Amino acid sequence: MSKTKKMVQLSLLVAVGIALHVFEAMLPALNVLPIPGAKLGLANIVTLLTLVFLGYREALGVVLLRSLLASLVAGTFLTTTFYLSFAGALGSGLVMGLLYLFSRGRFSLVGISICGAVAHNVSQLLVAALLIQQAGIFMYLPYLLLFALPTGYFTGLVVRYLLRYSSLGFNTVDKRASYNKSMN
Amino acid sequence: MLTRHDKILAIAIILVAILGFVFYTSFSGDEERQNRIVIEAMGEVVQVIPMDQLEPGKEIPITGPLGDSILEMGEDKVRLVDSPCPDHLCVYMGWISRPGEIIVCLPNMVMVRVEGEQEPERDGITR
Repeated sequence: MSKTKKMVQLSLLVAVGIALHVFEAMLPALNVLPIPGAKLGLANIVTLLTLVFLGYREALGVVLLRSLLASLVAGTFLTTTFYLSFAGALGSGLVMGLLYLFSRGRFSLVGISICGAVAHNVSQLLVAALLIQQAGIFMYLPYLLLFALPTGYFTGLVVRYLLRYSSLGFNTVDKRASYNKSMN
Repeated sequence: MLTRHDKILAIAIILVAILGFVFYTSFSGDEERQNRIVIEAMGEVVQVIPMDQLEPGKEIPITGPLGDSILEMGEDKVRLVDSPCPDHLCVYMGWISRPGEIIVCLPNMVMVRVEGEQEPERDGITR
């Protein structure tokens, strides 16, 4: 794959990620829930896709760039929201990448997605605990965990069906991708 | 669909969440939850009063550089009723009762605040 093509693909993925990230921030439905911080994780779809199509390092790059740029779009750059979002992105990106590389198909994309959602919550709480200097915030984790399960499942399913019906113009070099495809 | 490991993972997450609930509810006693009034004068804590030991109507003096600020206790709330300071902002503050609320009298260097584990009510959420 030529360098230019890869750059364009990465840019597109980042752009879609930002769009989903910002769109999700505008969704009113979740604000009704008494759990601030719980969200769908739509942008996670892009992270997973990058992971499948381009690989671990690219996925991490896309997720970090997305978090950075989306914060600029939303106007939260260098605020608490940004630090939390960035930590979540880093945590979930790392965990999903490692799982994808080393779990050898034990987890499906849905499982990886759920792990990513959980990692997102845990790393966010870690940073939040550091920011407010109180570990007590971790009592909040069970609520988030119960919420991470359906949302992670949902985003995992989206990726699964996306892969089943379309390669989105990517020629996947990664054998695991085709493996995942056939498994699904 | 879901692999075996996926299912184990999902069950593990639910278990951890439930364990977290159980752990939290069993390890948070009433004493920790009890809110308290913390009174500071000239930068030092002079008195801590648990919320349930307030005697409504009782007034206590807090001595600062200008003189005595008078604290009045109410039903689960306190206020300053008199103060030697020139502007009486601390008196106008009125009653405080929720964790995080605070009365400050800068001229007389008196601070009264409510402390507690209970989460303060949110003013708003942005995301």
